[in-house]
Amino acid sequence: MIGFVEPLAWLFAALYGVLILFYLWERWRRPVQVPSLLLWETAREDILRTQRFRPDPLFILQLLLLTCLIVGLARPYIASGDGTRQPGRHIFVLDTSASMQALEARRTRFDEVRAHALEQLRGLEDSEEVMLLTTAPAPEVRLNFTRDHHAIAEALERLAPTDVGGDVALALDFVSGALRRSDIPTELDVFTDIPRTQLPASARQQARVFQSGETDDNIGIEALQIFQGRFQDYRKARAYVWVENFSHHEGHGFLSVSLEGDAVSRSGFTLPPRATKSFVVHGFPAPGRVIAQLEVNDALAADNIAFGWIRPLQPIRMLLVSPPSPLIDDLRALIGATPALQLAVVAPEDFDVANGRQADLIIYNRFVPPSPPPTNALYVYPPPDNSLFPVAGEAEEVEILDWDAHHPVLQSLQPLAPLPLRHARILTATEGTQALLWSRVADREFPLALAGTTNGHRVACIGFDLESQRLLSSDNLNFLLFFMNLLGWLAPGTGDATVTTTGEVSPLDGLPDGPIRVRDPHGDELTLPAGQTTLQPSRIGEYHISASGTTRLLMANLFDPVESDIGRSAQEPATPDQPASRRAPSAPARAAGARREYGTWVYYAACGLFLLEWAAARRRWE
Amino acid sequence: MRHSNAGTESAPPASAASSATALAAVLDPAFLRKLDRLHLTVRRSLSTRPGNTPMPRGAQGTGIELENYKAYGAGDDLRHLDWNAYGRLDQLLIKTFRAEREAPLQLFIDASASMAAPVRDQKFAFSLCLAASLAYVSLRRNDPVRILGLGEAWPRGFLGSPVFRHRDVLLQVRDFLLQLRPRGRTALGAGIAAALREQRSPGVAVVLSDFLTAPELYEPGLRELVTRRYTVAALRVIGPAERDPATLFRRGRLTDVETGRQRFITLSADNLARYRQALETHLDRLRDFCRRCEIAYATIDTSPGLDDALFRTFPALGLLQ
Repeated sequence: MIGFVEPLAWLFAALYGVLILFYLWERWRRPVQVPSLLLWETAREDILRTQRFRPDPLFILQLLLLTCLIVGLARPYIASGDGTRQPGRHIFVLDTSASMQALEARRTRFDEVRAHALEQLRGLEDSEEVMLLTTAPAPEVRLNFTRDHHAIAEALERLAPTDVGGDVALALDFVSGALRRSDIPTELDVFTDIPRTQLPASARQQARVFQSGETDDNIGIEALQIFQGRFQDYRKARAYVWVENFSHHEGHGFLSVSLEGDAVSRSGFTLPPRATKSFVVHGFPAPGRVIAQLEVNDALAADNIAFGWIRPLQPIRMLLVSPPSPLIDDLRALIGATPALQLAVVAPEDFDVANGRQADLIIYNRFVPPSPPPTNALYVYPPPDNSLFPVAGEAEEVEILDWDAHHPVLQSLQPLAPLPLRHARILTATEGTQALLWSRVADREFPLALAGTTNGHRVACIGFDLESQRLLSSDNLNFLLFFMNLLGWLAPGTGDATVTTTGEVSPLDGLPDGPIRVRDPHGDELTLPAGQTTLQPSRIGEYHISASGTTRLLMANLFDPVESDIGRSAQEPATPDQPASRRAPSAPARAAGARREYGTWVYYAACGLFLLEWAAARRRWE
Repeated sequence: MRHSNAGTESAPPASAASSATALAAVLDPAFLRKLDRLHLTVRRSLSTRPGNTPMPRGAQGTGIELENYKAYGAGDDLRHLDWNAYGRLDQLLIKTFRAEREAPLQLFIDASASMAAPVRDQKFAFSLCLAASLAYVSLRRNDPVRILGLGEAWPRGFLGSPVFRHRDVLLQVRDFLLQLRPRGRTALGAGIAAALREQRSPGVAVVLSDFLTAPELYEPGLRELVTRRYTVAALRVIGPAERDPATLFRRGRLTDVETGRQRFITLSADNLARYRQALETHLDRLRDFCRRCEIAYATIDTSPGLDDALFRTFPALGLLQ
């Protein structure tokens, strides 16, 4: 079956008319009056005496030459095989990462590639199936293979770039699996701002890449960090803002920092190409949300704003239930140095549930009540026969061998120096708790500290004896930090907001059971499925989370230098042998079997005809 | 050859204006003073009327200026025998004298349409200037001058002027020249023959033409002039565009201004060579014919200008001194 890859090239057939007009013009003769034709009798007179068009061999040769050139442009092919036509498949992979929001001239990169995708879609036949897949925040199939091109077009129109860094390579890996499994010829079209040369080699071979984007004009906030200790007053909080110029020319702008809408500082800056500058803001008059905003004229707006949170000072009422112990003195000394902590001490025999209900946190030292009150609790060195944390045995002189680095209690304690522990109980993790520290004895690993949630309250257990370790000893600074972190984790602030980056999964702790409703920065509301206690923000801004009257605030930032660095090399063709322009509707996947193009041979024929025409013209003129 | 009204009627606008402008330049006093240095060279004249023009090899011994002595021969006029020499030397010597006769000048101007094409060559206007200059040179020595325009446009094949005899009538010469318009077909042979039937005494005949007609049409006329013992000069007027038609066109629809016949010619290198060959053949044939008939011949190019023709070509030709 003969077909043409670029049938639009036949528009050049209009050149036939130009050729004929040229010949008609060539037959025009300037009227010249001569004194006599006597001297012109021997001259060879032109064959054509009139302006009526009569083709001659030279014209035929030129016509053939023109035809060869047009056919060469149209790229003829012959599809071999049994000739049975099978509908092809197409996978459209759209890059929805944050950099696609970059403005190129009058529209964004995403708008450009979406226009390409819609154009590609219009060029397909109705029988061809299309899958639509986006890359950010994670590869996601928006529409599986379908012949409903209208639905694909609608889905494309609905799509918008996220504020998340995307991984096109991961999406292509995902797609390559689908390609391998497909028993129908399937084409892969990637619409992204990443140059084809920066894609994985395997994807470059099999994908048609529609790349958009060249500008590198971007200045972004790369970090906003609020330095405020867990038990520190908001007056001592400081905000650090890192601003980076990702372009290759000097950048100017202003950085404004506001607290709950009131301006705190505004600084102008000039940044050399590819340079970073940091700003320190302090003296915040109140707790609340901090917004750092850049006033710059650049292509990407998503990284021009960042959110932070300054916690209010919330006293933690602690109740220590302990027999006489050096730990009491240590804790009192600690409370004296930490204004946000309040401590009450009661002996185990005087403890009752009513006392416990008035505390935010109860610390049980060497004691476990038979029926603990519904309050967050820390158990220190529980007795062997307690009912909450089964003790399998005793261990002496053990070391911390491993720890859960991802737990917020230990995040700022890396690496945790190995410390010998004199006395430790071999605990067994219970339901709802996880180990924070591990040690080993003989051939058995056992947790040294546990943390988790039980009956909706945070619970932690330290399995080694703090009395013998002396909490305030300068040799055990890590223990002090670990202990303070543990206190902070066990008594979270009720009005705290969570600050994270887009694309990161944030746990939704402390919410009562029930449907969780989320209102995103654009005002869209959604209800999380039952059982989902995490949220992955894909847009910068504030997420208002509510469940059964309890609300939480989650603020997401785009701190991704890969996405902010929007500069791309010059645009590249879609594939080495096929331009990114409108593609012929006759996709190669149509016909089963091989297809062979003959455009090159037609160009060879055109070269031969050109030489022949040149020789004929030269002979005529001579 | 096919006749065409368009061809015969539509001579290119040789333009009386351009002719008048050209003649005005000739009649400029400064130019006339330059012409005063010239006089016509006549090899023979059968005119019997006395004039100011000496006849160098005149057989007629009459005259007032002694030229030489020669030994008496049988048949010599005894009236010219120098008796004094015979008395002293006892030899019979005959005195010879330089005759001075008038040398009538007849200027035949080809006034066919071909003289006006190509327009940029200005052949006709140039011919009128040459004629006016020669007429002045001749009139200044009181030799009679008659101007004849040749062409089929006139019923007898020519339009003759009255005989001008003094340079005071130079303006009349100009007015007659301005009456001539290049039109119609060439009538060299017929026109000259008809004009000679009205002319009795021979003299100097100057034919100004492009001779772009068949040889059998111009050769009889020239031959008759020689036969009638005229001192004949044939001046082939040619222009730069006629020598190099590439300046006119590349691909042209050529129209013969006299016949209206057309040819479609592309000026390829081959055709250009053929044209040049035909022009050379045409000029060679005319030159050979003139040499055989003892006719002074010159190809006068319009581009160098009048001075070159009058002060270089004509003296070299022996027509002027």
